Parts: sequence; structure tokens; C-alpha cells
Amino acid sequence: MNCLFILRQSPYQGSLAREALDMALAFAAFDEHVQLLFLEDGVFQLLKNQDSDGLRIKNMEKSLAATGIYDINDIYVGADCLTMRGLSTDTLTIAAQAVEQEEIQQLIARADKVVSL
Amino acid sequence: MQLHIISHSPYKNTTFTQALATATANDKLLLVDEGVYALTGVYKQQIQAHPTACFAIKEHLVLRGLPLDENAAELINFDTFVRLSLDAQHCLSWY
Repeated sequence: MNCLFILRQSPYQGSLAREALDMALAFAAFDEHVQLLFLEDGVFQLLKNQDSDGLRIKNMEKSLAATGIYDINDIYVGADCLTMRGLSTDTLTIAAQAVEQEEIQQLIARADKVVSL
Repeated sequence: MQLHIISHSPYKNTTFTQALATATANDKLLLVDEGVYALTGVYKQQIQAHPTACFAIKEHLVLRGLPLDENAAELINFDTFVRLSLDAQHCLSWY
């Protein structure tokens, strides 16, 4: 089954971003084909050098690094969302493919299940 | 001097824009928590173009992996946060 997760929450504000990512990792652990699509403030989850030591909370960047272990390789990020925030794909902590609105619509149309958080 | 405290991402709602529109040249703007995302993209340019002095909690940028760039805001610690609030006539929290 092809499961598309649309991740729109910024990290560290409540637990929504973390819970969504954990859910995706759990799906992957059960051998579902997981795709991640980062949109809106969700793209901030992909920033490098997140340092949570000072505030003693769990680092989200390290959880993202686990996507490789779980064989999640289809990682997409909204091109417009990146540009608006002055970011580009080469500044991100994991390899993600920038997608335009039309490709986002196709990703949704092709998925068997969509989880949007 | 009024201290405008912004704790929301400017991409999520309009509180940042409202605060900036309200702040005078004598006021101070303080970015905390998700408010520090205002130091990216188009909002960073808006802060630079605005006459109000801008401050941001350094630790909140460090947590989120944002560049520690002092071009748009002075990066401060919690002690300075307290001093800024004591100096201000009013502290306005923009929810």
C-alpha cells in the first residue's frame, strides 16, 4: 500500500510534528510504502543543525535521520514553501525532492492512503 | 517604549504582520518560540526595513537550526529578555 504523509507542522510546537513522523515510521516498520511530503511550516523540520540540548527536549532532526533505516526514500518538499522561507533543498538535513503544485496533486492522486497532519 | 512579544510563526497567521503594523520606531520587537521563524524569507526583509529594533531569543533559533544571523535582530538570552520587559511601559504578547 502506498501511504502519503503530508507533514505541515513546524517542529517543537506541541507534539504534532513528532507524532506524525512517528506514525510514518511505524507504517514503514510494517512494510508499507511510505512517502513523506513536507509543506508549509513543516519544511522547517528539515533544517540542519537543530540543537535541543539547551532546552532538554528530543531532537527532531535525529528522528528524521531514521527515515533511511526504515527504507523511506520518497521524500518530497513543496518548492514554493521552501522559496517563501528563503530555503533550498541543498540546505536540508535529509535529501528531499522539491515538487511543484502539479506534482503535489499527482502524489495525492496516486496514493492509496493520505495522512495529512 | 512598548515591547511587542511575538511567539507565532508569521507563515501560520497574521499576528506578526499585525504587531509590525502597530509598533512605532521607539518600540521594541521581541521574537520568541515560533516567532523566530520571522527571521527567514520575506519577513526578515520586512524586519530589516522596519524602524523598530528587533530582538530574538538565541536559544530558540539554536533549537530550530536557524542561522545565528544578527543582521535583522539582536540575539539575546533570557536575562536580557527580563531587562527589556522591565524597561518597557507595556509588554504586549501577540497571540
